[in-house]
Amino acid sequence: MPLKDDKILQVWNTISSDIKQLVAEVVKSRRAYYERLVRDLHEQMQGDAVRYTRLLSDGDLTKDDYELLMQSRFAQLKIELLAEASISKSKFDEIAGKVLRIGMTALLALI
Amino acid sequence: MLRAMSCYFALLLPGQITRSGAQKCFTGFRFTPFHLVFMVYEQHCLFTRPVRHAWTLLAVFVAVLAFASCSAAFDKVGYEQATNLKTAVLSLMDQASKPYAAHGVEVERVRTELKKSEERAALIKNNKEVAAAWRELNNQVVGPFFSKWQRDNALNPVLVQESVRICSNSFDAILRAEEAKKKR
Repeated sequence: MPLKDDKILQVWNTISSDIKQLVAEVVKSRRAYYERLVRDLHEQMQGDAVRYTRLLSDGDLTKDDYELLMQSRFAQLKIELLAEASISKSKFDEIAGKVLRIGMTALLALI
Repeated sequence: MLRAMSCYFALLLPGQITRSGAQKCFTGFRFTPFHLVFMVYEQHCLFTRPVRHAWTLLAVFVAVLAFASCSAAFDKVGYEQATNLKTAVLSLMDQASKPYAAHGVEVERVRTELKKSEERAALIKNNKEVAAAWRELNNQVVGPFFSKWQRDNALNPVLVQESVRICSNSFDAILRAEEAKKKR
């Protein structure tokens, strides 16, 4: 027997609040994580740049060494940001998987 | 792809295909800009007009499912290669305060392995961030360091120590990105 629309709507309404709560929690925690991450990356970069400059002024590094270190350090920052972008994609997959499980379980139970 | 998913649902609801069959159809999805446009359109319909048909809700749900595979799958071999390569590269970089000639062959071997890892990451679907990170590590961190070692014959121990730290942190970032895929 074909399913009635109102029955599907009824099931959907029950799961939609769960989904909203799940997504809201993830977004909130990711936001806090990014704020912390940006602060940490900035502090580390600043600390390293100051140290390299001090080593140069003390004569422990040549200008050529200093340039190589700064170039590598900026590359490290870029790599860290790229890795975080990839981690974010994986996190969104995780949340989509949870939404999928909630929705599939509830809607398939109708059939 | 989205149209195909809707068809699976349409077949599943009247009982023309089994649940496990439909679940198999849902796996292996790839998110495309088309899916995003479709989702935005459906959200617009939902929030600006009264819901006329429950199938609209199902269509939104199906579109949300399309997010299920927007990132690359965990690459176990690539992860193990990266772990081994990290050890090899760092121990070789540690020797850079000594003359290059004794390590030239090993440097070339490691450079080839790094290039292979970069190419391997680039071949994986939805993996452009990790592939770019490998490229950056190769071209901006390890490559210039080995070139300078070859050119200068032996490097300043302070430079070596700082470069090893940078390289180690860069490898750790790439491995963290791979680890995140593993947990999916």
